[in-house]
Amino acid sequence: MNKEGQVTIFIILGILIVISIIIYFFLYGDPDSVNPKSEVPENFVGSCVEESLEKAIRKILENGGEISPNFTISYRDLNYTYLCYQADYYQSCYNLRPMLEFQIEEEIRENTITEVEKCLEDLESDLKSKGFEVSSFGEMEYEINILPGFIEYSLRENIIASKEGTSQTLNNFDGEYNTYLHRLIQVTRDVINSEAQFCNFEYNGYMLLYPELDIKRIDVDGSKLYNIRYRDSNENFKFAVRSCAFAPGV
Amino acid sequence: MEYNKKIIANFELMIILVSIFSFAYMMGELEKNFNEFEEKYNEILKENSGQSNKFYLKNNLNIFDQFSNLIFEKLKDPFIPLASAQEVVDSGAGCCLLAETGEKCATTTTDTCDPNSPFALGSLCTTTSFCRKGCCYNEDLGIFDSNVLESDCKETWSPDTLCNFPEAERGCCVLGSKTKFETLGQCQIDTEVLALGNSSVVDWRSDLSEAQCILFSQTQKEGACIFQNKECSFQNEPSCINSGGIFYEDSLCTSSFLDTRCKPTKQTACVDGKDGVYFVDSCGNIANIYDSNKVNDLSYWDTVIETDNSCEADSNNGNANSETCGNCNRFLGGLCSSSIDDGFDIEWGTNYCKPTECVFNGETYKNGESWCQYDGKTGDGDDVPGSRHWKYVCNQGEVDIEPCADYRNQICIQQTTFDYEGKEIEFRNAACIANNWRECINLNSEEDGLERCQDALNCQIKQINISEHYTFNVCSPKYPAGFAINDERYQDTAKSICAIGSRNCTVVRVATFTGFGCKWVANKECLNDEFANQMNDVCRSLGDCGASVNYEGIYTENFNILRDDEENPPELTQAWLNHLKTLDDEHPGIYADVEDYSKFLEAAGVFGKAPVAPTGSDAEYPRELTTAAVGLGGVAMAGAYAAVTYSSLSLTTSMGPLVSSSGISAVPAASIGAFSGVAIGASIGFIVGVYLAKLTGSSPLGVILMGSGGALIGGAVAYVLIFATLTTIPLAGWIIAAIGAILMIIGSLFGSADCDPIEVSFECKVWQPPRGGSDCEKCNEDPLRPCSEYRCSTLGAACELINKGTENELCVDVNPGDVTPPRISPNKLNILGDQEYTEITSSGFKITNEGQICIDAYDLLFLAVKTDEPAICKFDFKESNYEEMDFDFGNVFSYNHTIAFPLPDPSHGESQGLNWSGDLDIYLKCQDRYGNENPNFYLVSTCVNQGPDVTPPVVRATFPKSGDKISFDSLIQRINIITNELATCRWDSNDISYDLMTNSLKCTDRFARPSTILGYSCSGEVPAPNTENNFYIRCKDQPWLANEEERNPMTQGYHLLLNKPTSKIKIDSVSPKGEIITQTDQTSIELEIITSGGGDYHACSYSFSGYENMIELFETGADRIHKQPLSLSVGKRDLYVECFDETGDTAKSQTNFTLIKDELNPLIARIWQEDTGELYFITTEIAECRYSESSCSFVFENATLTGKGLFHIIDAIKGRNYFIKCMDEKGNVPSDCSIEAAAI
Repeated sequence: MNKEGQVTIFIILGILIVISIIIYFFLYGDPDSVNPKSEVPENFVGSCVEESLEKAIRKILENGGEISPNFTISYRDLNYTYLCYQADYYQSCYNLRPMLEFQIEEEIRENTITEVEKCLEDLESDLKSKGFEVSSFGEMEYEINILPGFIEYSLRENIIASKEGTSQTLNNFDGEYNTYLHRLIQVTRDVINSEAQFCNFEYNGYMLLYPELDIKRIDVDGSKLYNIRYRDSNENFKFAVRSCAFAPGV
Repeated sequence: MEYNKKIIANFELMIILVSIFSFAYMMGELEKNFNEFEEKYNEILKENSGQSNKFYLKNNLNIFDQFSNLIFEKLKDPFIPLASAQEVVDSGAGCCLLAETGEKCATTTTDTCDPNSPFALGSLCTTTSFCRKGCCYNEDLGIFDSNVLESDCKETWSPDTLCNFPEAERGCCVLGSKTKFETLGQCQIDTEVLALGNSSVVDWRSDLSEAQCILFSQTQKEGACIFQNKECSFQNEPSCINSGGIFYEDSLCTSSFLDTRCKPTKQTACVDGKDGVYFVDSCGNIANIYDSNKVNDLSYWDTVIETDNSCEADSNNGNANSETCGNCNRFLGGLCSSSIDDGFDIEWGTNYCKPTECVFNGETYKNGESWCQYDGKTGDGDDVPGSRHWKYVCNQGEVDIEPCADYRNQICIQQTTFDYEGKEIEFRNAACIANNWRECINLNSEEDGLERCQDALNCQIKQINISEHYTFNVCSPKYPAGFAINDERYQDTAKSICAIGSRNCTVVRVATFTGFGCKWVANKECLNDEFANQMNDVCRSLGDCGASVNYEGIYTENFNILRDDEENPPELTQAWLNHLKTLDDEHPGIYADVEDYSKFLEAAGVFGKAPVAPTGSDAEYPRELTTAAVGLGGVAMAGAYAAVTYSSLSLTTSMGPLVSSSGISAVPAASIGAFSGVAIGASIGFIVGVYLAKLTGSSPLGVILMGSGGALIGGAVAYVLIFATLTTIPLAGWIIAAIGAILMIIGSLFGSADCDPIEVSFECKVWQPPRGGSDCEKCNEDPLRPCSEYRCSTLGAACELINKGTENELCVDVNPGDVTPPRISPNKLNILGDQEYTEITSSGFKITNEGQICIDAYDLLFLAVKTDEPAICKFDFKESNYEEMDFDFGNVFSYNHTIAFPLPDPSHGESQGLNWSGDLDIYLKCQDRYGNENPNFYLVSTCVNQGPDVTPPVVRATFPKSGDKISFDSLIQRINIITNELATCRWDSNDISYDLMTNSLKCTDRFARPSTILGYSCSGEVPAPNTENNFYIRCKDQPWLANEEERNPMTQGYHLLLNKPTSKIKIDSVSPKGEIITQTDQTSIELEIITSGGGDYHACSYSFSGYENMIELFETGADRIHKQPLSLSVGKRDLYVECFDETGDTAKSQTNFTLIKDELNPLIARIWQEDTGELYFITTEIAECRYSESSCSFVFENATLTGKGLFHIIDAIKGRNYFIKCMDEKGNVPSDCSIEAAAI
């Protein structure tokens, strides 16, 4: 077979493949509609919740454990939330956020609960669009638990999906979201306890012992700005401390 | 090392805490001590210059040139406003739990405190209950947070701020092959989550340190854990057994004989808690260290090979950048990292040993090493304005920079080695630690300050050694602090600190023998340039003061040297100037000292060696001055004595031939009486001659000649009176008389030169940056050493940091092209009393008293102006250039410029020989930050009401104040009173007239030379035998008047009441004492001292090393209960306590206590099994026992209880094992089993 014939055959094959693909999509629509989210409702809710968690955790990391901080110091356009603060000179700071993990859990919960509710509503809508009769009862239970290596969320709501005489009860949407937030909170506790007791945190030695951490400190106007980065995940928790500040020249 | 860090951290805290008190004390004492010093100094000056009052009151100078000089000397004295508790109350400030800004427990006013927040008016937050710190904790979760307000804690709260609970102690939590150093509660959570679920055993070891814990993870025996279906996981034995696997120690999952589904790969991974690069198998399990030579060696995948036996184990750089070996060592220089992220070409896999060492300025630093960098020379008081200490850290191959606190509130210290178990390890370690400069400044005002300065941290003794009689010491910081020169809140303090370096030197001289010229007696060297060099050196060392370069090497001069004879004052030598200009250069190898903290730490109860006895004498300064004064006085007197003696001798020798030639032999019958008459006449003539000589101000030679001439004339006159009439005077007599007359005439020609002492004053001013803002941008040039408000402010007076807190934070020239001088206007807000500013124009104003033309004599004249931009204003009493004006309002840029000084009565001045009518013109000029100064003078005119003086003096102040408490023990009290004009004062226990009062006070001040800013000082002692001691003080003005009738006495006595406490201050109790049982290595105890009696204000201090190094309690005050939380390690402690009240009375007490750690776990004394099957056992002490049937690694609280007490029973089943742990009442429980028993 000559070369021109081969080229022609390849072109024809190419055209046939393209036409086949077009026909496939024309007949079956987009992949989502082929595999509706509600086929595995727990996964649908899980990915939705995790998306919401991801956004919340990003804010938490940026804002020293708060979604909307109101007591911050600005440095190079970045706001650092005070976690330990002493207004007077020479005195050690007050821990403003004791039991930080509990507060962060609550912050995350409050910040994501609306979106999580929306996730469940979307699930119900999706099921309805697939011809299911959907009813829900009871209060939605939603809890966040920060654990080593991940965040565990507990999401419970009783949803009954019925179709053609059969019904299925969905009530457990629990899941996990991988993050080193727990470790970062532990380090933050070490920093704050040390600053509160000794007006200093010896982070160089700490990094030698825990090389997975990258801790940077900046001194600005009597405040210390901490950036604690978990090297593997690149998650960076930043906050500010003002402890035993010196008066300028008095 | 960790321990050392804790100690250093503790020390830093203590330094800070102590600084608070010492500085507060300093603020209170500084002014007082300076006044006392001035008093002594003036006395000395009086002795030095006692022979001539003209020194102070020259006719040929404007009175204000001298008078104001003296007043302003006073105004330059340190005057630091001390906010007392009463002032805090008066200002409406107090402790606010939550301020509107979000601050917790801040000192605010009610306006800025959240309306719903508690507010304690006039209270410090440390003393309010709602701001009490404590420990917030959740024992189950093992979370302990220090320094938490009770109101913020939603869990359990305890007042132990340091959380020294047994449950808060950290131990090594073993989580499979990993370990974490954490509390038991945290370990339980981690075990549950990271290990093997709820049923997993908690392995928490309290006997391992943090470092040991990390190493422990690397010594954990691991192996293959085989499950069903050939599944395999590489883990440790307990985890494996717990998860139901079969454990094969030291075997890899890829081991050929295990036949798992896991196969070798060429992939690698980094492992948490380990340094090296590891191969991973197809199941994701880690295998041995990556070794490219073994990639196809199946035997390498059978058993675990220790890192010591792996590739390149002896590499001295931790296999950094090795393409073939992943045996990394973080301490030697390599740590597992992603080769993809770092773009490193590795033979196999995706990881390599990333180099962790750093290279800086050609020098290599290991990972974790840190070192100091400076902006110029450091130490010896040489740190220049704007400079900062920097700590550099090698952080896994990258150099991080940690700036030490700005304003040099922290210094960077560095050591190159440290001891570890007796071995010296080379490892450079730097730290930013608190700069103790405040203490150094403070010591200058303390009685034994100079003695203590020698041993005080970061302090040095600066010795001024200008001349034999002008030698003194100043305690100055080795690392002077920076000042916030543009912040008006701190300007007064900056001025006060610099003023410590302001001193006067009196150069004493006398006329030569012939009277032609003067000769130097003392301190001639103060006129040399070396005076300027040395004085500026002290000035610089106090802070940002004096002449210095900034950190960019730009020089400005901020001192003023004046000579009262208006000759050219000394100035810095060129060589010294050149030296100063090198101080911003790098000085490699010079670091801040690592000083001996042991004494301080011992006092604080941490540890330390015995204190070293202080050496030297602080009192040398005044003593040396006293010696100098005596010396100078002695020299002067000796000179005068020698002159008189010489003239006497001359007279005697000259008399001999004269008498002989006058013919005694010719008158052999002359009686002894007649001869005596001639001799008496000669003597009288001599005295008259000398008197005339003194009257005409003759030199010593003139005195001799006139005295001799007078003696000859006197002798001749006596001869005439005895032997002859004028007509019978022999020729010889005429000749003698003529010679006498000639001698007197010649003598009168030898007038004495004007040899008044010369006063050289050195004024140490706050350092100011160069005018303008041409250098501002230099602050932005080094991203590694970021600009700050302080650094920016030192580059130029017009430099400001803009866009603070943003990415575009820049130091810039705020108003380039500014050529407009500041506009001056009166500032009526800053005047007090009845004074008014009238006839205000754009070029000046007039100061009058309300309803009068002139102001009253001795009232404070308030000169207050403001400028429309920050400026430094100067003034003088004559027209002169800005640079040459002698007086300023403080060498700082500000909007408000205020100064106050009293003016004497013109009639008093005139009576003292001064040519002053009472009219006064003050010429002002201001200069802005760009150096633009007013082209024309701003003229302030005033006048002082002239006599006749009919106003008696006024007592302005007393020390102690009326109503103050004095020492309980004192029978005599020294008092000091201040009057508005020069006066003499007396006291009595009844308010009788001045003339009837018999007890005089000593008033050493002289006219126009008050020793305090408030006025003239008189002092004396009064008896104080009673609880209430009443005195009345009356003074009489114009002491120079001979006619007592012309003087004005006070018509009503000033009532001075001195109270004594009903009892002396006493320490009633000190706690703790005795033995204290603790379960932790560090224990929180509360030192409590209860005092009684004494004055109103009690304060206490403590030390664990003796009374030499006391540390003031933090929580002390008007209360009688003084508390201090302490965190101490176990051991016996001697506690020294001292309390004092405002009267100066002290009380001491000593106690001791022992902290004993109860480390004994309860033991099982006996165990047996009955026939019925029960296991019985008895413990050595009351204990709670629990058991598990699987292993000793169980959570105590979750295990099965056997009972609480001494006697315990287990309903045992034959064949089962029982792992038993017992916990005593103090919480002691073994990490292992108390006993293991098998039921039979």
